[in-house]
Amino acid sequence: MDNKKLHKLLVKSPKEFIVHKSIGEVIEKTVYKFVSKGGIYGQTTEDIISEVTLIILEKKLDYIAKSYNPQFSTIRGYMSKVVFNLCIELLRKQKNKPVFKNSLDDIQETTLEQGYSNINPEANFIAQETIESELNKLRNYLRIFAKYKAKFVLLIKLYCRIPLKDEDFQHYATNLSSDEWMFYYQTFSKDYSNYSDKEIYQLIIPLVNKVENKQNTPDALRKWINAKVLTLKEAMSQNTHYQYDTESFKNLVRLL
Amino acid sequence: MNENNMMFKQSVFFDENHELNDTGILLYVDALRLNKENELPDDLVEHVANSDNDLKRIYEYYEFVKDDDISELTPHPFFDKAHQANTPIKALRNGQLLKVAAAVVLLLGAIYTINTLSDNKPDTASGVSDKLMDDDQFPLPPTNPNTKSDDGLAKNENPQKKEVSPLPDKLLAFEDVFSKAELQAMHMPYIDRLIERNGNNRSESLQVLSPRLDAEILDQVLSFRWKNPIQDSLYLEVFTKETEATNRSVYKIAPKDSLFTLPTQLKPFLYYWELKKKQDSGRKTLITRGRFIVPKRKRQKK
Repeated sequence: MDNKKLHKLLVKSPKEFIVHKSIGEVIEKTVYKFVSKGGIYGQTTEDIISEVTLIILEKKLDYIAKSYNPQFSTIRGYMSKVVFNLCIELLRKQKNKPVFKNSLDDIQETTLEQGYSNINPEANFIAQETIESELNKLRNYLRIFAKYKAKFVLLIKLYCRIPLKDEDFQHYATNLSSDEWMFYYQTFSKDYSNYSDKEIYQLIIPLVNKVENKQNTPDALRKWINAKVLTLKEAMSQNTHYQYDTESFKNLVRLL
Repeated sequence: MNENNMMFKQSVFFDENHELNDTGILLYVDALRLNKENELPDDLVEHVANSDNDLKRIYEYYEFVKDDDISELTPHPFFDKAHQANTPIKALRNGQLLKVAAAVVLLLGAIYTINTLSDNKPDTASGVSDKLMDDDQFPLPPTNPNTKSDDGLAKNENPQKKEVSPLPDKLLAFEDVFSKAELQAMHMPYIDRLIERNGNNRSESLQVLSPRLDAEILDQVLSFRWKNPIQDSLYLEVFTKETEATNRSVYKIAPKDSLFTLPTQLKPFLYYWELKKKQDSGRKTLITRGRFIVPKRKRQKK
C-alpha cells in the first residue's frame, strides 16, 4: 500500500491502520533492531512489540494522525521514529542508561587488553577497522552541520591544536585577500600548540566575523566551540565502550 | 522568501518548546541518509547548529537507522517533491490527460490508415525501436528471434531484430528468462545510485576494463581485467542483494596483477562488485564498483 493510502487509512480508520501488515512490520523491525543493539533487556522482543503496539493503539494514534505531515516524510519512516521514541521511553522506565552494543564491542575489549600489539596481524587489522568505524561516526556527526560543517571542522581543529591545511580555509572562507590568507595560513599551518585558548580565538575571530558578517567576541566563539565539542564527545561516547576524554578525542580528530 | 523558509515559519518542525519535533528530526535524518543535507531548509540547519540537544537527538536517531536500506525513502515526499512535480504525468491535470490520450488515439489511427494504404509490412525498423523503448532501466537480454531448423542451421525469422542483439549466434541459447519483476527485485537502488553518481571508476590510475557495467556473464565464469595495476593488494568483493550486508565473497588479488578470474561458478542472479585496496594502515578504500548479471541458462532444444 502506498504512502497516500496508508495516510488515508490512518485518518479514517486508525485502528485498521495500526494492524495493517506494513505498519506491523515497521513496529517489529524497529523493536527488533532496538533490542538487538542492547537497548532493552529483561523482556522478550515479542513482549516489547505487544507493549509498543498497545501504547500506540491506546495513547498515540490521535497524536500520530494529527502530527504526521505527508509533505515531509513517509508514514513508515514516521512510525519507525514513533516506535523508537517509545522504546527509549521504556528504557527510561527501566532507569537504565542505554548501552547499545555493536558487533565490534567484544573485539574492541580484546584489542584494548592486548594494547593494540602487532603480535597478531589480525588484531591489528581489527583495531584499524575499529578506528575507521569511529572515524566514520565522527564524519557522520560533522555532516549534521550541513553548510556550517566547514566552520565546525576549522574550529574543532583549532580546539585540538591541529595544524590547518590550505583546504580548511578554502572550504570555509572563500573571500580572503591574499594578505589575510597568508597571515592565517602562516599562523595556523605550523605548530601552535603553545597558544592559549584566548590567543587562538582572538586571532581567528576576525576571520569568522568577516565570513559570517557578524561582530562576535572571541569569548563567544570559545564558548560556542566548547559546547559543541562537549556534545560531540558525549555523542561519540554513546553506544560504545569507549569514553572519549579530551586527549583521545583530539587523537581521533587528527585522523580526519 | 523561498518555499523552504515559508514552511519553516509555520513551525512544522518544532514543538511548543521550540525544539525539533519528530517531523523535524526525521527530515534531518532522511537528509543525512540521502546525502541531501545541503537541501535542508536554511533556518532548520541554523537551529540545529546552535542547539546541542537537537544535535544529539538527530545523531542518536541517525545512528539507529543509518544502515537501513535507503530505497525505502524514495521517492521522498520532501526531497523528491520538485522532481515529482516536474514529471509530465504529475503536471497534467485530468482534462489535459484526456486530451493527450485522445490525440494519441487519433495519431495511432492515422498511422494505421497510412500503413494500410501504402501496404507497409510490420517488420520495419520501428519494431526495433519499440523494443528499445520498452526496455526497463536494466538492459534485458534480447529474446532469441531464431529457431533452429531440422538441419541445424539457424533460421532467422526477423532479420531486423537481429541487429540489436548483443549476443553472438553461438550464445543465443541463453535466453531472456529473468522477468522484469525478478530483475527489479534483485536490484539495490541505493548502490545503483552510487554507481551512477560516481561512474564506474573512482581511481585516477587503475581502470577496470571488464566486466563492463551491466555485462551479461553468459558462461557463469567471471574474469576481471584492468589496466594501470597498482602496488597495493586488491580486494574484490562480490555480492547480491541477499549477501550484501552479511556474506560478501571476498577475493584477495596479488599486487601488480591485472587479471583475475573468480574461482567459483556463479548462479544466475544480479551481482554487484566492489574493488578495494588495502592501505599500509590496514584500511580498505574503495577504488570502483559495478554491476553484472548472470542470466538463467536455458538448454537448447534438440
